[in-house]
Amino acid sequence: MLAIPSAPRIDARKRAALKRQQFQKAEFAEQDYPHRMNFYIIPPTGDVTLEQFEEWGIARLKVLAELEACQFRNKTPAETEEYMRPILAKHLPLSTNSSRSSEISLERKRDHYSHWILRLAFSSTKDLRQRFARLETQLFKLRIQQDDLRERKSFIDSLPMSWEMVSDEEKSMWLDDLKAATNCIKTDEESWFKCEWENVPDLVERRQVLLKKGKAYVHVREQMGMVVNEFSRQLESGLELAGRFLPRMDEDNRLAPVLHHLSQSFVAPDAGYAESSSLSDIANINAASIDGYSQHFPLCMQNLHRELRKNSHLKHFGRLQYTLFLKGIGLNMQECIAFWRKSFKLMTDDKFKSEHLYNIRHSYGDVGGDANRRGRGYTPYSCQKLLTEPLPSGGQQHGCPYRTYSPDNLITLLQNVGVTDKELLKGVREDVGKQRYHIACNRVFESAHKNEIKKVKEESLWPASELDTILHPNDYFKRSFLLKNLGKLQSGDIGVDGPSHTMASPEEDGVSAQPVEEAPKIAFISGHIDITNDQFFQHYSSRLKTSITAGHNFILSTAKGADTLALEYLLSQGVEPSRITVYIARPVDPRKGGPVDLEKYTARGLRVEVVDGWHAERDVEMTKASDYDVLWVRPEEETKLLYGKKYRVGRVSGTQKNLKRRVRLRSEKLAK
Amino acid sequence: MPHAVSPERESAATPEDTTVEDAPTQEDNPGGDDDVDMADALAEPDTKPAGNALEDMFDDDDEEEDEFSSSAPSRPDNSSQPAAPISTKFSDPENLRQFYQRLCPFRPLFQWLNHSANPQPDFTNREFSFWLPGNKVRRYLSFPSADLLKRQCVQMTPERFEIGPQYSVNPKDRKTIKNASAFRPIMKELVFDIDMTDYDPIRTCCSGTKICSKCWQFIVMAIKVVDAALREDFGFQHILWVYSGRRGAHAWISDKRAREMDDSKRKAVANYLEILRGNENGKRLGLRRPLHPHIARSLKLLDPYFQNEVLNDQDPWQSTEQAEKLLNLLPDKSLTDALKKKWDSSADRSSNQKWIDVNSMAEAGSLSTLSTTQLRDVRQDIRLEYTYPRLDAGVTKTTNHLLKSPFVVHPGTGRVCVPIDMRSLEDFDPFAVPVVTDLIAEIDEWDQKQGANMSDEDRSKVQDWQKTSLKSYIEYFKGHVASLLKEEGKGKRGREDEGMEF
Ligand SMILES: [Zn+2]
Repeated sequence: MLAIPSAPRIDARKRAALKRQQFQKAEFAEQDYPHRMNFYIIPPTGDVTLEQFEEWGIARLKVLAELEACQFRNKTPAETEEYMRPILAKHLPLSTNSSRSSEISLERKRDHYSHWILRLAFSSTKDLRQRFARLETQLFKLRIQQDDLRERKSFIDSLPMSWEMVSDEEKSMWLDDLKAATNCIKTDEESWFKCEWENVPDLVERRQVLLKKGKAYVHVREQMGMVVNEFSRQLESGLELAGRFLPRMDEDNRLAPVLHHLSQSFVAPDAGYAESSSLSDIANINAASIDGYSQHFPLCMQNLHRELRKNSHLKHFGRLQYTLFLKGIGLNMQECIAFWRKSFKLMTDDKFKSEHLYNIRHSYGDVGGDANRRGRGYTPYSCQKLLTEPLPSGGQQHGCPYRTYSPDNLITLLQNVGVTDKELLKGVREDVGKQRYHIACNRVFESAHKNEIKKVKEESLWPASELDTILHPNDYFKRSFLLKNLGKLQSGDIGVDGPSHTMASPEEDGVSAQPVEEAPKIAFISGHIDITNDQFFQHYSSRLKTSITAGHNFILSTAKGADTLALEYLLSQGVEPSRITVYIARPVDPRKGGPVDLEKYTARGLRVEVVDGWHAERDVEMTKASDYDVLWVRPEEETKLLYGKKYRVGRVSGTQKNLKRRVRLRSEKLAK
Repeated sequence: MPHAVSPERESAATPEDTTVEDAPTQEDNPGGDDDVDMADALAEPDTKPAGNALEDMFDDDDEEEDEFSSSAPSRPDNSSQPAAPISTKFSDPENLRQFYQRLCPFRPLFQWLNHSANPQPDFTNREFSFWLPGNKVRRYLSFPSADLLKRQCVQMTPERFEIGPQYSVNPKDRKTIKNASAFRPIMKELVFDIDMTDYDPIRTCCSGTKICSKCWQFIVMAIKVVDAALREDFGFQHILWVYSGRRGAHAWISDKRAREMDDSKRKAVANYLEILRGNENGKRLGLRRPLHPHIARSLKLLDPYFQNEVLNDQDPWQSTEQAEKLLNLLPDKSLTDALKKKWDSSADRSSNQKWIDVNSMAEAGSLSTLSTTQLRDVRQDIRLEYTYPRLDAGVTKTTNHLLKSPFVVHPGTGRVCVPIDMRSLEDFDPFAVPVVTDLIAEIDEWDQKQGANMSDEDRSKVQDWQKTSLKSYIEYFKGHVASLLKEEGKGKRGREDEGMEF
């Protein structure tokens, strides 16, 4: 299958380069990067500093961790793309050739090097290798999909893939068969390549290729998927190789700790404390206000706060963890001392002064050695620090409760602090079962702030990267505080709610009070064919989620835009394909319509209903066959902007008609 | 029995058969402590076939306990065929012992599974399962050589044995492995199972376990279509079709490329070939147009059968209720109404005439809203529905599935599961397949007639199987194995040559 004779092979010379050359003068010329995308076959041979080595590794790790978080949270491909866009731009930008950016060369070098740095860091165990390969493949896929079409083509052409373009001679010999086999319609490019059928089992399974004596003739549109598969395959075999070479890496004692730190960071990606986490400028943070703010604290700190209030005492590591956190949110040293003094109400002043005062001052860098003073004391602990330090023992309360508590006790603790949603707790239980502690914490955060997050997103109040995964307790507090005070902190420029008035709500149709025995209700999904991803997520996804949860069935058409996005969304949410029926209009005169491709849907397990007629007839049938609509009609103003000169006053879209038809049907029913 | 046991010289001559010491014998309890009775079998992680065997065991109808134990769930059977005591006759231990001792071609079977003359893991790490009286199944048996498999069969006289995959370690040792995932299937022939029961919705001549020469034609059609696809589309060459002993056929594909396929690829092949999946009467097949070349080719192959073997012989829409099935396949109410009216008034129209009626009425135009292409598509779909192979795809999709070995005796019919020569597929007559009891009589007869006129030396050169009607089947099988081994040899030499260069 592999046309290049060697899998990514690190030969002895290059291995040596990897080990040492980063720090010495490069013996090899810097590589060129003619393409934005990279298969990372050849290890880097140029010169990087130890700092770059670590910094670039961490940046890529951040990207991979966010990608993984998307997956843990079941984001759809479109949601993932949207979520990742600002994160990629910030941590691992990769410009196209056409952008003519002066950064292109450096960006690509960083991309190349950081990939290899992590490859080394994660090649030690099978688990890490698999995880890394999975995430890198996702990243590759995400990027190649976003690539400029021309540049993508030239990248793919440059790959030493084990396929061969079908010659014109062969093409003309099999043309009809090729077209019939690959579902190639008039408007499609008449271009195919061939490979061993074992390389494309999923296409064979769906009869989307022409087979001849074990060779599969594949339409070019499938190329990208194959490139991604090949990337994944090569990376996996490359990682295995690296795994075998790793022991020798230990020889370089300067690299070892960096690599160790990076692989540690895969447990929970590390985040440094940012000064900006302090809210002292915008909020009045003092000893007396901590009780009030503690509602915004992450569970680790809320737990310490509750224990402190309950026992009027905390053990050493708990005090340290909490003190640093309070310092981080902007509590100054004097107020901090006051806070602890009041909290230890059973303690004499003398004992407090002799045993605790010094430690607090030390934490703030008020006392201690030069280094401590210069560094203004200790830095507040990150999630990673809390997740990797030794577990607390008898009576100690520090650390991350998602990790240190047994699942049952954790659930009780969450319920005690007011987290009671069953589904949410179920998700938390799953997360901690899989040791995804920071995901559990983020899950709780998102649930507690879901309305505010929605608002921020819908109104683009914050840069999207400000809503990434939380990896630091102080970041948790800051974000919680800002979200809960959106109205007060904004300049007052808060938009009104979007045009949701046209949406027939599933709630009105009995989603919440549905008797179990009844046949599931059927939602008719319709909408504009030129809807954007953003509009879809704004106007459909939460509606659909409600309907999915309620166990309803769905019908939709084959139209582009809303229907297609909805179909993919439903499937991505794990909706059984048999719960979805695709309605296909088959014009009475087939010459006027395209071919009816039922198999495209049935092959995916979807139900198909063919309506003889045009889409108008189809829609009538669909309204009849359903109980309510999930649709969105674009407001008139927006339509004007979108259509420009083509805009016609009084034009009624199919979606609007669906809505009106439903209203009419309902009133007729009522009249009876 | 009066005659001496014949020497089976071809296997006795090979050295490996005489040097192996750990020959499993009944006393040794083959497969170590794995005397798997049904309850144990269920506790095993990997006992799909045995699990099905359990279903069979609780099936009151002895006739149901048949060759399809190794295929997916137990099948419904409406047959009122009496549970004949005949089955005990064919699985009589003495008959089976004679059969295994004198007739069953263990040596070619070994070569066929081993792909070489000397035992290699292809054979030695293979799972065999033995079906013993009372529906006991011993799974995870393995044998170091052909002779030891034979010896075990002679001793235990299993009603049949089944062949599974080659495992990463010897199945016998699977319990000594600490890491459970290290015990995994790594190679098996690609297999197919076509069973007449799946044709019950469309055949009218028989049902259940019964077959006749009319409905056997469905199996012929299926073999043709699947064989063409395997050869032309996938490029497989070493395909062995085997009669399953009662009412179906199996295919074994031994090409290296086929043997090494993982489950995802087996699934891909099965689904590529399957178009009637979960298709109840009256639903469209959902095939896209133009038809995929595989389906177009199949249709072309099947069209003559539709006319003769289906319309004429099966006459599937003769009665009013039967005709309803046809009407349900037509997506045009005005057309079906008109046809119904016509057929109600003239009750004795044959399926052939009704099929013509569909066309002529639809073409009359005023009665139908179907366009010419739509009508063509509908008619194609119906033809496929009544002729296209109905595969038991579950058997194909997983590597660790066991399938009954060729040349074992079907306990219900006594017939030997013989290979089907593709060059004369149409001539294959399931009712002419040798029955185990007749074969043993044939040996005696030969000894008395032809043998009586031969010198002792000449007579001793003739092996027992050559004295029987099994001869042509075994010779065909040997030819099949020889061409497979030749190809394997080529591959191996190629590899060795490569090795020399370095
Ligand atoms: Zn019959």
